[in-house]
Amino acid sequence: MSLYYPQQDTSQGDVHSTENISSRPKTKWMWRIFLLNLVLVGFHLGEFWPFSIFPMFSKAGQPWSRAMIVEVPLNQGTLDQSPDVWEPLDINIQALQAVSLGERGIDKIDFSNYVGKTNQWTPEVVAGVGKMIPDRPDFDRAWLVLKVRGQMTDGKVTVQGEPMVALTADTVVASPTLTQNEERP
Amino acid sequence: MTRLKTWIRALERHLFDDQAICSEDKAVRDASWVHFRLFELFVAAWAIAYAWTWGLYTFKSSVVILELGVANYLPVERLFGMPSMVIAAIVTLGIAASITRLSRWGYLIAMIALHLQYVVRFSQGEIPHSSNLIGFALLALAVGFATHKDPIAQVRFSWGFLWFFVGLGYTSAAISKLVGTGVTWIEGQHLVLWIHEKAIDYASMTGTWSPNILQAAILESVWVGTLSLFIGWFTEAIGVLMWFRRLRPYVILVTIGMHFGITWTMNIVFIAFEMQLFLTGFPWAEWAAMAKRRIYPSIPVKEADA
Repeated sequence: MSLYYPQQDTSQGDVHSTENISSRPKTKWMWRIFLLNLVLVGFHLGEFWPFSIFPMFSKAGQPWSRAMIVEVPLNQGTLDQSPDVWEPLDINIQALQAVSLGERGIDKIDFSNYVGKTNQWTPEVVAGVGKMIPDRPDFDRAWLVLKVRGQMTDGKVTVQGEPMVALTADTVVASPTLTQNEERP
Repeated sequence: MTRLKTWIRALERHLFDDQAICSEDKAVRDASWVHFRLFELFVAAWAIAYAWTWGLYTFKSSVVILELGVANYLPVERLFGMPSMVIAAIVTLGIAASITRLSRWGYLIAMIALHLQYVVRFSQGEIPHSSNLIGFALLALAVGFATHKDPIAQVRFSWGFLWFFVGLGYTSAAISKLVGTGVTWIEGQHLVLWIHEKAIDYASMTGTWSPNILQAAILESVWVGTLSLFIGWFTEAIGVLMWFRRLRPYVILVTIGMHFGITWTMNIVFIAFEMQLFLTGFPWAEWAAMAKRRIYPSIPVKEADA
């Protein structure tokens, strides 16, 4: 028997005819599944794969947060001599340069979640950033892990990067702002 | 109530009767079988690929951050790692059983298993929609084969069911935008904000990003952004017109264009969506029959002519 063409039952006439009762689809099953779809997405916040209300991009103009690593030069090759590296950066997307996470086998969403959702920057969490990134910058450079926030204010889009952690050739250091917050009672 | 019933009957006729497999032209019917088998192979390949890649990812997972679907009722963290490989094997065997016509229930078993695999994989916080069309296609085959014994009824039900849910999905996305934001959703600055977000993602991943011509135009003029968002929203809104065979190729064409537009503006790639819409949205059986008739002009149009 052919796998793509059914055997024809000539006793029932033309099997292709829409008048043939056996070849008429049971449409009630589509409506049953449609009702099931409504119930499932209704009771599961709009998501029950493959059913969905498809809410992606439904909330426009919302602030967002991401993570990115940028390379900066260091004065005299040390972080201590370069306190300005911890200043927030206004980011211009017209010519973005970053340290590639893809080349290092790091998932960008996982990395953004790690940096963006961390509230307590304990020494273990800071060391975790160092573990995720397998290599290090040259001795006179630092890689700054930025928490990047974008928002729309009065119809203008602004994007700012807040340095959270710096990686140098031999250290992994959290921003002084974070450690001050940790020490605060 | 009578009017509603009339509308439902009319919609059912468009979805389930107005199909290539119901054509009076034997060449079209023959081509429609080949088309359906290609569609099954396409769905099988993607569903099996999803099952294994999602399963392999769960070896990295340790805790459930987001409970989706049946994960609300099952301890899915126990399915991370090797158990997810068993789920992937069930998906594969289920699909194999139905595609070879050994069992009508294989697609249904595969569908349930793939839902489970999805909620296990995406228990980590992200809710992607890139696999939903393949999900609808597998569900269409699952319900179509489980509830019908007749091969023609299986095909007619699968196509009609698929188009109903695909069209509904796109229109639902347009409605979600109206509910989530309102008519101001189409303001160009919203697209500028999303382009910035995706630029950071892209640069973070690859090390660099610079705007293409379309992105530069949107960043330059808010009206280009507004026009782009309006076209995108309108295209989604008319998704239900896919229910009607004569309109379907045109709606599909603009929908594929919309997906390319999203790729060019926000660097989000919809390869499975585009491939599925391309494979299923055009009258391939009619075109194949037409091409065959040009090569062999002696082929009759109707059986009675034979």
